[in-house]
Amino acid sequence: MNLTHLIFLAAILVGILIITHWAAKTNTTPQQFYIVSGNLTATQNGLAIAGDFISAASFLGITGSIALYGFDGFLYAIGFLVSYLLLLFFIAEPIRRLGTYTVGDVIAARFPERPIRLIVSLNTLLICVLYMVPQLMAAGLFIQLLLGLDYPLSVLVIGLLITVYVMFGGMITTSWVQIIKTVLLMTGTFLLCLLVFARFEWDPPALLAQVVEQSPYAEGFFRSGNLLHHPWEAFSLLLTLILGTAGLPHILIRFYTVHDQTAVRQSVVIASWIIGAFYLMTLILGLGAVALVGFDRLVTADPEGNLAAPLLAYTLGGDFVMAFLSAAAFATILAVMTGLVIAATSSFAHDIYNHLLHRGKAGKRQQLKAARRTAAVTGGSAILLSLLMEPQNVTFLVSLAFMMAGSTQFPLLFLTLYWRKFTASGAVAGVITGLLASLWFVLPGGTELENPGILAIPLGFAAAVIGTWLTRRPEEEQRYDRILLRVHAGIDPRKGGSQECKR
Amino acid sequence: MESEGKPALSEDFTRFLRQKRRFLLFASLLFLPFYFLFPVLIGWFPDQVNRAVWGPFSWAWLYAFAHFALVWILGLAYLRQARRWDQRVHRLRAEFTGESSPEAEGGGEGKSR
Repeated sequence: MNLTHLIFLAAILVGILIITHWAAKTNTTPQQFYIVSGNLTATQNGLAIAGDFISAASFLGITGSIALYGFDGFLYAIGFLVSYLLLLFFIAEPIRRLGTYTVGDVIAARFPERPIRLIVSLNTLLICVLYMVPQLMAAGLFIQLLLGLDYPLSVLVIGLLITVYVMFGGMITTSWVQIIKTVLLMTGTFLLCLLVFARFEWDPPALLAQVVEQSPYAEGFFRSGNLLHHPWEAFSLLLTLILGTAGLPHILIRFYTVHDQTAVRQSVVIASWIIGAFYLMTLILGLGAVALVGFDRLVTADPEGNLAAPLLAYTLGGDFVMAFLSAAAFATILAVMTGLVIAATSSFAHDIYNHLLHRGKAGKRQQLKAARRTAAVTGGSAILLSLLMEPQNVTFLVSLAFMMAGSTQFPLLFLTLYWRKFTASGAVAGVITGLLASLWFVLPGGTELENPGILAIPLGFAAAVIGTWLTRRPEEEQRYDRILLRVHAGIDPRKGGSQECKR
Repeated sequence: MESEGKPALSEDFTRFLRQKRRFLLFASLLFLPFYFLFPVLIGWFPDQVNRAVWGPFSWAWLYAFAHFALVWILGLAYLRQARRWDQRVHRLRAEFTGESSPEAEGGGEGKSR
């Protein structure tokens, strides 16, 4: 057992526990529990969005892919980043105006039919759990590697801690974990970039020359096509990334945690600056890893290259720097996990428990109790699933989560907000088709493409359009006018004026 | 729907919507084709885009880096534009409720919860 690593990890876990203790006292209303009563500033929320979004897969995974495959690894970064324009222009502010806690609220504002809320909520839960399992397994493997604990024990401990964080700390703890993580991760990667350049005496061409020397692709390292062979793969990947990111439930609910529209868009722009800067740094880390650690050592440590960043840290700064970077990576996993657990929690406790079972009339105490129990069950099932599944083959779950978000949540939100003719049946048809298509194409034998988004996403959209076509309801289109007023002017005609002052 | 109050959309509001839509359409026509042309070039014209132009970096790399600039610039442009919309919306809302709003300055919406 390595003492330096233990101290860093313990500091993070205990620090968050203290935040949770403090947060638990203020969590007396559902509003506070789900969205911090909208009290975060734009900067805080921007940091938290970045923290919520940058997963272990994108930190460890992108650095590793760049180190192993060069250019193609960097494509992921492009997709993740550009998606923030989509969120900023079309999704973020309308969500904040139409909903209170969840994506289900937004859809229910236009389609009050109860089955729709149920479907949206179940779909959110499914995406969250699918995304949670690989994160938790990554955390387990990471702890196993760093501290030498058993894998099942690591998963259990981390899973339980995360569950406790969300159960008692709610969105406050989640937000602060995410903010602290962003600061740690940005500091760690920046430091590491400086160390990489320092090693080459601040001469970037020397670094690039060393990359060419070390990579088995040699000059070809900088060419495209090392990872994505089929011409459609790159297109499909980028389509999945841009629409999937814009449909991830744990990112969408972050827009509720600030107090007005201005803060919503500022926080998205701030997040896009942080995330952009971060991915530029992962490029340098990826180059540094192949140049300094060497291709063979990277592949021996992990065939997928996921340990590239920690190994680079070890090569450059020994145990201490590696412990710091590992702590940042660990905080990354915690931040994304808590974000997913709270998204799943509000989706069940608010949409299903409060709205569907109690017709929106559950008391504050009841709602909080339901939320805590949901968090416990969600965390528990993530632990169980992680223990049952084989750790080797879970990366496909991450891409499945993105594909589902892109083929169900995104078309649903986009068409609800911007298509006058959209109907309830169209919404249901779209979500169910997108869901089934995503599952079908990741199953063995579904398709030859490694990134089947190009098949599932158009199917989700097409089913929504066809479903709408078959059930046209011109008389309901006027309802859309009310949505337009609410989304674009914050005016709620039913309440005879500004909704913003009445919440 | 008659029972649900005023006829929903005023002329001012539809004009505002049209202008907003025009901006969003323009911005989307800028970044979406830019984004999706990228994988098309990589997938079907690999020899052309992989020609080195700056050290080992090829056109494909420069194209990739350009995305960062695009996201940051369009993000700032949107913030600027949205500030103007806020003021416009503020007037629309005052018109709709038929009373002057207490938070008249700057188009901010104040504490809403």
